[in-house]
Amino acid sequence: MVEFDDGTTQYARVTFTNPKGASIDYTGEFYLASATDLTLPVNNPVIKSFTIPAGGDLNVDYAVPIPLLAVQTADYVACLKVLVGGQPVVTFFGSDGVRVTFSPAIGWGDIVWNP
Amino acid sequence: MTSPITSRAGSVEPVFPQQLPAIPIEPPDPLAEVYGRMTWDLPASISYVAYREVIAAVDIWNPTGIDRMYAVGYYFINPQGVIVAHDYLQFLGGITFTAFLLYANSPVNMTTVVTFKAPSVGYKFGLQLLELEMSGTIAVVKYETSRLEVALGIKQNGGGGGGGIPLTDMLGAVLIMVPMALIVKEIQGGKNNHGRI
Repeated sequence: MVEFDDGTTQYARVTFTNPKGASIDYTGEFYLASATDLTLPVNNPVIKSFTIPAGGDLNVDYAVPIPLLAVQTADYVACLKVLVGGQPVVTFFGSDGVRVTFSPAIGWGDIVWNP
Repeated sequence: MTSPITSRAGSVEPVFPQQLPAIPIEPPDPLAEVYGRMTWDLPASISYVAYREVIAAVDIWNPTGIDRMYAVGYYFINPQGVIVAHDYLQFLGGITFTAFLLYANSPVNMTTVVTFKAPSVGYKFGLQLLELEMSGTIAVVKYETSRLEVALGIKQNGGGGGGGIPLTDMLGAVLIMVPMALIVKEIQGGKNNHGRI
């Protein structure tokens, strides 16, 4: 489980590999979702399109917006939707969670009467 | 003194499949193949040399009219017929992916490369395509929809026979799975800026 402050931007690097014998046009959409609805992004998906030659690979960096919270913490699943030639192929779901914490944490001091 | 706010969101478990079917298990019901299909480019048996890496191209698709979630299990059976490894394939990367969703009628198959090796001849290696469903926030196995198995044939080379290989040795020799897309993912920055999760 990784932890991030809410409202920040974190960077995810994905190395895409083309195992086929021909060049392929990919689109990768990276987003966070609640496990209760994995197809509904809680942030704006970051979309990157690129072409990988036969047998090649490519590092793709995603600047992932971490959602703002109205609660102290929330756990999300990292999701990566992959399209080939504009056709959706697969969405992978992260086995490790992403914990987002409200920052700065809100606290309060003891109430002092007639200080 | 400062007290933190105690309200918090409900805890959400990462998506990791549970209840891997116990092995030995019956072959999947042929009727279950309607829920998910998987093929590879390996024959039922191959000649094998200990510790030689085997690479298989695997195609997975969803033949149904609705989106479905899957995971892939793998197993090794030693020459004595004992299961010495049985787990889920993980799509390697800074973030590990185990479960995945394939879209209705799979407009494009998911193509994957699986690499594995065994400590001697006589082993069997298999893959299981497992359909998952969410139970609350946990993905549980619903069906085994497809199975592939290859026998690492009796060929030659030193020690052959290889019985009694410790499980720990097997696990060290397991596999790498390269999805059509990602291999390595790193999270940079934030509280875990080492990235490897």
